[in-house]
Amino acid sequence: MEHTTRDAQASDSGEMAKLYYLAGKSHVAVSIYDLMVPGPYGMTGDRIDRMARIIAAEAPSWLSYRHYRVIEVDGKVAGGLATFTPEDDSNKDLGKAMMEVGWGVAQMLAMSRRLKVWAKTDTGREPGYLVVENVATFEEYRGNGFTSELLAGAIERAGNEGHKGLQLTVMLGNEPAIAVYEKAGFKVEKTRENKKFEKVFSSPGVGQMLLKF
Amino acid sequence: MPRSQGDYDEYREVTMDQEKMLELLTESWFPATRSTSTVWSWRHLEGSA
Repeated sequence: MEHTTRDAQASDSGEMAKLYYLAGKSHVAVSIYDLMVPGPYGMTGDRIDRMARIIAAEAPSWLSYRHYRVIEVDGKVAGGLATFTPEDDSNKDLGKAMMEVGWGVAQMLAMSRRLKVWAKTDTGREPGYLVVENVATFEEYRGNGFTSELLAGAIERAGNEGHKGLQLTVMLGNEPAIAVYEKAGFKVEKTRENKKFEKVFSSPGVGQMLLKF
Repeated sequence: MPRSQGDYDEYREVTMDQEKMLELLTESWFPATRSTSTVWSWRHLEGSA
């Protein structure tokens, strides 16, 4: 399928929000973004709009469009992937971007409560390894090797910038995604399971995958 | 300690700038950056004990 790859722009934030939602949902019924943004679970217009505002915010955060590469087919965003350093992965910066687009203290405190189950299970970041995040392709474009192509670009960037390698987080049980990452050279480094996490996400936990140079 | 809402607001204003407030508000969201600094803090304390 004919396609091009480019850096994302603020005007892509709507499509990016949908890709982030899909990436956060993985193979299960609930997306991490269902916990971040309040309201009935699902890719609702309100949730996508609120996510898009954070993505397009002036304040830089790890959700920002500035970290994202997109694959385009016939002028439409088909998929994408974020890369950023562990230092860019700052909760405080994300908070700044959220405040910029209207989140108040009470809303952010409520988000802290909703995210507890994730925070207790997350495997954390490995210093020195470029982070790969929010990897997704819209369903109609899957099977074209777009993720592998984007990953190859990320690996090249990590090598050029002198990182020790790359890191990403996967939901345990997402075998198709794990297979794609393994094909690119990633290996599961550690896993963390949690019964409460399984109750919310229908997945036993998360795994950290590393590609070491 | 502050005795009224007005006192409390002023107390907060002088004791907590926005950066610090954001740090406290968001520290538990994702453990990525927090875990590193927590480990560092404990090591730091152990080292100085």
